[in-house]
Amino acid sequence: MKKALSTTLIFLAAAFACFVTPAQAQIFGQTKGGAYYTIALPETWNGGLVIWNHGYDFSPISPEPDLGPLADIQLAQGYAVAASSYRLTQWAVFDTADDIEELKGAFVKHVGKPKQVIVTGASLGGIVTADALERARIHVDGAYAFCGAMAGSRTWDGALDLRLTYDAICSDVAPIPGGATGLPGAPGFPGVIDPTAVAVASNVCMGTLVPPTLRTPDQQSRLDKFLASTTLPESFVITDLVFGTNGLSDLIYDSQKLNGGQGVGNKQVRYKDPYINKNIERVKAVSKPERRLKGNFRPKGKLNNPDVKIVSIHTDKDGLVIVENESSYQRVIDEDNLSVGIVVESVPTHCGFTGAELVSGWESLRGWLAGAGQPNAATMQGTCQAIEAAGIAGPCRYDPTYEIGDFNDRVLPRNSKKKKKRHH
Amino acid sequence: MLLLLAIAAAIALWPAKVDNDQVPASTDGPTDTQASQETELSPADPAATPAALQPATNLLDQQAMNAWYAGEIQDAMALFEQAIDATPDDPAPHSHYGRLLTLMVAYDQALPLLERANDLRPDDAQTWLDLATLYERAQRFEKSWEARAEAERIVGADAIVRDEQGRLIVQGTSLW
Repeated sequence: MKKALSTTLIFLAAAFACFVTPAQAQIFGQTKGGAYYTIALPETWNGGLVIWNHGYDFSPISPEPDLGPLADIQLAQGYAVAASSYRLTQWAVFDTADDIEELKGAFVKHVGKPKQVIVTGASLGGIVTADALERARIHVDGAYAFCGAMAGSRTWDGALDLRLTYDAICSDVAPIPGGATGLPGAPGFPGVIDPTAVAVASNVCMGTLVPPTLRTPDQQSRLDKFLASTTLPESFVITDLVFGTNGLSDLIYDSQKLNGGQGVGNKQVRYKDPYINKNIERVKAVSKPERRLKGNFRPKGKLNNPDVKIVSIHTDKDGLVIVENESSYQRVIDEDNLSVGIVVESVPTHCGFTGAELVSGWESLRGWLAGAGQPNAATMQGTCQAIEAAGIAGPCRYDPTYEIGDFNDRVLPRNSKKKKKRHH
Repeated sequence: MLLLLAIAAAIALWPAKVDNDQVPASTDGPTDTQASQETELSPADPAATPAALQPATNLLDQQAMNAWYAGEIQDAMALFEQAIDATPDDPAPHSHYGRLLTLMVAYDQALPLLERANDLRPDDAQTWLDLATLYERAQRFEKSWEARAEAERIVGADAIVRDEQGRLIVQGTSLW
C-alpha cells in the first residue's frame, strides 16, 4: 500500500506539473451517424486520448458536447479529450458503440492516431463505457466509470417495477396513465409529459414535495409502502418516477429503440412485499424487443482488449443508479481487469463524489496503466487523501470494507435462473 | 513533502477544498434564515423602495410558499410566476420557485430562475448552493463544483452540508 501510494504520488506530481491551462485548441463537428463531437487538444500532446461519455439526457442532442468534469486536469496532463453527444437521446446505448468508433475516427482524421485510449463516463456514460469495451471496434487501454449503470439493460427492469409499484399504490389517488409503457404513446411517438406533472401526481399520492411534517397520514402511509417495496431513498422518488414514465416511454416507443415493443416485463417476478406482489400489474415482455434491449446493452465480459484496465467507483446510497450495479459488473468482468471503489456517503446522492474522490479514481487508473499495481478501495482512499492534502476538494470516503450487495436483491430477477458469482 | 508541495502548487486551479458531508443537516432547527429575510415584510421606507410593489410581491411569494406547503403545487407555481412578473428583481421568488422546480426534476425550468437569483444576490452562499445542487442533479458535475466553491468562499467549507433531500445547504438552515 505504501509503495502504491508513493508511486501514485510520483504520478500525481508529474500529472499536475503543467496543470495551468485548459485546451489549447478545440474542434467541433458531426459524425456521419449524426452525433456531434468536441475534441480538445492540450498544449503538448502526450499521445493519449480520453473519451468522455456523458450521462442520461432527456434533451435533444446538441452541438459542442461538454468534455466531462476531469477535462481540465486531463488536458493539463497532456491528454487530448473528446466527447460525443451520441446520436440518440436518453437510453442512447443502442448506437453509442458506433458513435464512439466514429468519434475516434474523427480524432484520427483531425489529430492523428493516439498511442493510448482511455474511455470514461458517468451514470449512463458508465454503461456506454462498458459497451465500448465489448462492442466498439477500437482498441481501449483503460476505462474509468463513476456512478455507472453497469448492470445495463437491467436498469429498465427496476424502472418498470418502480412504475408499476406506483400504480399499485397510487392509481386510485393520483393516476399516471401508461402503466408498463411508462406513458401512453404510439409506435414512433413516445408519450411525453412535463416532469412537473409526474411530480405533482407523486405529491398528491405520497406528499413528496412537502415537508414530512405536513404530509397527511395517508400520504405518509403510501410513501412508506412505496419506499419499502422499491428500497429507494425518499429524496429520489420523483427523479426515479420521471425515468419510469418519460424514460421508459421513450425506450419503448422510440422507433430507433424498441419501436413500440414491450421489452421489459415482470410476469414471474416475486415481489417481497405481499401487497405489491398481489396487486402489481403483471406484464409479459415480448421476446424480440426484450432481446434487442438486452443486446443494447448488458455486459457479457467479452472484452475486446483482454488486458484492458477498468476502474469503477460508486457512492453507496445512490438513489438513481444503485450501488449494486457494481456487483452486477463484477459478475461478468474478470477481477484482474476491474477495480471497484465504493464511497460511503451520509445522505443519498447520485454521483455526489468530492473532487478528491473523483481524481483519485482517475489517478489510480493512470498509475495502473503506467505499471503500478492494480488499485483497490484502500489504495484509492490513500491516493484520495494525498490529493486532498494537496488541496483538491475532499473529503475521502472510500471504504475498503464495504460489501456490495447483490443487484438481484434490489432489482428482482425476471426469471428463476440463478447466476453464479465469479468473485466477491 | 516536496512532492506534495509541488502538487499543491500545481493544482491551484482546482475548485477550492470543500467540506465533508458528514454533518447532518438540522431539519427541525431554525427556518431558513434567508427565506425569513426574503419573505419578511420589512418596514418599507417609501423613498428606499423603488418598487412600490415590493411588499405585495413578497406577499405573493409568501402565498406561493403557503400553497406549496399545503400541497397545492400548481397554485404555487402560478403564484411564483406572478411574484416574479411583478418584481423581476426580487431574488426571493426566483430562489423559492427554482428550488421547487429542482425538486420536481424540471431542471431546464429551474436553472434560469436560480441563475437569476444568483445574479441578484451573488454574495449569498445559498444561492450558489442551490445552483450546485441543480447542476449535480443534472449531472453537470464540473459546474456543480464551481458553484459549491463559490459558496465556500463566502461561508467556508465547514459550513456546507446536505439536508435530508440531499440538497447542499448552509449548515443550520432549512430549505423547507
